[in-house]
Amino acid sequence: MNRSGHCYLQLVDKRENEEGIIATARATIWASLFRTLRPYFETTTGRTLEKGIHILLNVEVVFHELYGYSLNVKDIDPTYTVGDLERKKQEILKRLEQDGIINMNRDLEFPVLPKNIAVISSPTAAGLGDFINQLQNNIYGYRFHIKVFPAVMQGEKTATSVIGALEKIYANESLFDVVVVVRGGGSQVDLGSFDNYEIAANIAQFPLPVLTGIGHERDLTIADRVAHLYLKTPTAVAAFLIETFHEQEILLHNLQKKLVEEVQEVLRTQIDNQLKMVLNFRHMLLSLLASHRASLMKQFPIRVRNGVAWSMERENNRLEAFNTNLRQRAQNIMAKHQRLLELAANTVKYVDPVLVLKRGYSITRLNGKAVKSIEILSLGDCLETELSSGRVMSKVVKSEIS
Amino acid sequence: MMDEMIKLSYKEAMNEIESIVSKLEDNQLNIDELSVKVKRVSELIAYCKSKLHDTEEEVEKILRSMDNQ
Repeated sequence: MNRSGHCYLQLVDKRENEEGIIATARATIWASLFRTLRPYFETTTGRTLEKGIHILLNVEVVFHELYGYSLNVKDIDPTYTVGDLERKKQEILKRLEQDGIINMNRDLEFPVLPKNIAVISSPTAAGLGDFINQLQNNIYGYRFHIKVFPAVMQGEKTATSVIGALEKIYANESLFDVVVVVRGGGSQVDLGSFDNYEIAANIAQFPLPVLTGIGHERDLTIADRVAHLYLKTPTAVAAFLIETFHEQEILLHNLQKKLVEEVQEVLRTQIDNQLKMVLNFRHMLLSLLASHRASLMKQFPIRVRNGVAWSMERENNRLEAFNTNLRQRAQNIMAKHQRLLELAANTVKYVDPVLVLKRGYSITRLNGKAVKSIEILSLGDCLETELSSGRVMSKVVKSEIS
Repeated sequence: MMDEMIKLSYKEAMNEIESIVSKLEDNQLNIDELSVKVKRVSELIAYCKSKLHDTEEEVEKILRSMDNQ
């Protein structure tokens, strides 16, 4: 394209994988037509009129005495190019599959907490700024460690540049949990640079999971197809990472709750057992004493009655003392366990349950106990559901076990 | 506590929490172990939360120093 807006093309007919050129011609798209043809071609194919692509043209052959013959372009059929690009993509995919590497990155285990993030992006891209901003200012206050590895993200240099960045990350592999490739804000065209065997092969075989967010609206690029996970935009990648953290926080919160409940349960059983023991023992002593008394009364009707009365008094006092002693001990044990319970309950201060409720979670209770399983519910039961803003009462009209 | 925890990955800490809590659920812990284990889980939970919410200066330092290579 020159300054006047006219587009000059060098057309070549050449068999793939062969060096020889079959035919060549010069062609011109006049500025007036190029203004409409260009956006039409670019939006349909996702490519610019760049070197190496196959096109189908409707031309008029013109001859000029001075400049010789040339072709005057009247129209372009972008669907031909789309088909050609698609065929090339399929070929690359087939090759990756034959190499046995197409699923390698996808098969990696995703880290539980993707905290250390290596980002491959053009440092000037608006998408990168949004991505970093979103990660650093998430509403939950999670902290990520982000390192940007600059790369050219469009045009011919994309492949070598992105692969160079991957190599730098590889040299420090142990520092990172995931690799993120983001591009955004720019034009939708020229994603062709990510339909590249070399980039795809490097991503596929990379030892860390690679997430892509290269901002395409139409088809997936080859890079997306081999990545561990592809997302449409850098923003979506950031949201995914934050959500992964949030799932962990909810998991932690639930474990903590369970811990407190279980400790409470254990202590309750312990205390119950202690009390039961005390009561049993008391009962045993009383009945022993009663039978003793009856036999004493029978054997020594009058003479020793006073003595028996005295001895009974003494036994009763002993029993009382024993009782008090046991109760004291049970209380000591309870107090000791109470401290444990407080310790467990204390850990709850790290989570704010209100936050969890605010996210739309709710707690349903039956007779004051959280309902964890559907089996304990029967028709007509009155349920109480706690939401962030209040409580709702409801009645079971139907329940289905899933 | 934190010095010893630093060697522990988030995943390892999480696994330990889960294993202690599930032992607790199955009543596999006696009252004497309880005190020690509850303390341990509380510390592990605090550690995991710090992993979510805190910046690790050491890591930041290393990442920054990579620019000078």
